[in-house]
Amino acid sequence: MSCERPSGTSAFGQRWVAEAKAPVMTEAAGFQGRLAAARDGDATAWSELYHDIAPLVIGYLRSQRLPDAEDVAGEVLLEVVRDLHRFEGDLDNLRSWVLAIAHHRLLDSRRKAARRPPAAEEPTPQRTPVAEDDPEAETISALGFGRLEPLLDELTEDQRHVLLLRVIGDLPIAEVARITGKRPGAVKQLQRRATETLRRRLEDRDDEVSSHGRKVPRAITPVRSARSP
Amino acid sequence: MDTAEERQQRLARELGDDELAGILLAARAEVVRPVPAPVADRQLRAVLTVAGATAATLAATATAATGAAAATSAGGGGALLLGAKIAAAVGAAAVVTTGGMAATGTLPDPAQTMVADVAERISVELPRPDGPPSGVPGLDDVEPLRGREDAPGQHRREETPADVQEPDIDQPARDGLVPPDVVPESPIPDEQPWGSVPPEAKARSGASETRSEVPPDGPASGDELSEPGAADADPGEDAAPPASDEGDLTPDAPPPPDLPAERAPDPAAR
Repeated sequence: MSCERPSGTSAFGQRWVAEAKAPVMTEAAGFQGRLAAARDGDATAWSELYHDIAPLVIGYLRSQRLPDAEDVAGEVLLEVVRDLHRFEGDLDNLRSWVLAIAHHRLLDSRRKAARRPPAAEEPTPQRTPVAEDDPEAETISALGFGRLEPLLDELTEDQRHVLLLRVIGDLPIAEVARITGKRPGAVKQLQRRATETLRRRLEDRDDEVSSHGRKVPRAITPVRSARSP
Repeated sequence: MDTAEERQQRLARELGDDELAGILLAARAEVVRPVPAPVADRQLRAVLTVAGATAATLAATATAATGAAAATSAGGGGALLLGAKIAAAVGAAAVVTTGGMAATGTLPDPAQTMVADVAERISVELPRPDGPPSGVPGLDDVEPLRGREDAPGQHRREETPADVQEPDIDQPARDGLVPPDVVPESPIPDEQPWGSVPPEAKARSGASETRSEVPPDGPASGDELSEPGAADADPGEDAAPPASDEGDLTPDAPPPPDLPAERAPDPAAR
C-alpha cells in the first residue's frame, strides 16, 4: 500500500531526490495527478483515493472501538474533501493527514459521548461479537483483532493511541508524535510501556493455559482489568 | 513496498517480541479491510457531491480573483466580497472626484448647481456657475492648493476660513520651524515602540497553541521532530506547540504596514 521512499529522503514530506528510482517517480507522479484530478472533482480520482484511505480510517476507528466508526469516518472523509485543495504531499502524507483528522474526530466523539448522560445499563461496545456457530469467524477473530482487543483494556489511553496509530495506522514515530501532540521520545516511551504491558498479559495467559492443561482461545478468555470500569 | 513479512520483521525488531508483532499485525489485517460495498457507495456518493461543489466554488473564486487581480492588487476573499470591495472603491473615487470638481467649480453648470444645492443643505457652500462667488473669504487665495487631494490642512480651510492664507513656503527655511498647516501627518505613530508585540499578535500566537484543527500542510518531517533533546523527553509530557510566526516581530522587524488609524498622532493635540 505504501509508496517506497527513495534513498536519500529521511522522512515524510521531503521532496523527491533527483536520483530516485523511476517506478517511484512514476507512482508519485501518478498520485499527484490523481490528487489534481480529485481537486477538480473527478469521480474516478476520488474513488481511488477513497479506496486508499477509507479502509485505514474505518479500521483505525474500529480498533479504537468507536461504536459509530463508519459515520465518523464519513465525517472525516468530508473534511478531507473540503480541505484537499490545501494539501500538499505524497500518499504517505495524505494517510498521515487523514489519520490525524480521524484521531481528532475520535477524541471529539469521545468527549461528546462523555457529556451525554449514560443510558440505563448500556453495554460498552468492547468486544467484536463472534458467532458461536461460525468457526471460521471465531478463528479469524481469535487470531486477529479479537486476540488483541481484550489486551487493549490493559493500556492507558495514551498508550493505546500510540500503539494503534503506530500499528493500525502504520505511521512512523514522528507522525504519531505530531498527531498526538507529544514528543517523539515520549511516544517511544509510551510504545515501549504498552509493549511491556501486552507482553506481560500474554505471559500471564500462557501460564493460565498451562495450569489448566488445555488450550483456551485467548479471545474468549475473560480479562480482568484494573482500569476497565 | 513492504510485504507482510517485512513489516512483521520490522515490527518484531522494534517491539522485541515476535509473537506480539504477529498479534498486532494480524489485528491490523482484520480491521483494515475493504469497505463493504453499501457503505462505500453511500460514502463515495457524499464525497463526490461535496467534491463537485467544492471544486465549483474554488473555480469560481479563482476566476473572480484572477479578474480582480488585473484591476486591483487586492487579493483573497470570495467573489462576492471582492465585488463589494471594487464597488466601494469605485463609489469612493466617484465621490472624491465629484466633490473635488464641485469645490473647484469645474463641474458642468447644471451639475454644479445641483451639487451646490445639496451641499448647501449641510451648510457647505460651493461655487455656483452663475451665482455670487462663494462666501468663503480667502478661498481664491488658496487656489494653488485646490484640487490637490493630498494638500495638507485642506479640511481645516472649511472650518476656519478666515485663517486660510497662502502658506509662506519661505518661512520654514527662515526660522527652521514648519507651520502646522503644512506639516503632513506622520504615517508612523511615534508612541508605538518599535519591535514590541501588539496585543492582537500575542493573542494570535497564543491561539496557535491550541490544536483544534488539523492543517493539511503535510506532516512535519521526521528531522524536524527529532531535534536534539526531543527524544529524551519525559514520558507523557506533551510536546511543545509548533513554533508560531512570532519571529517576524523581532525588535529589528519593520513596522506593520497598516497601522491603526486611531494611533496616528494628532497634530491638534500637540
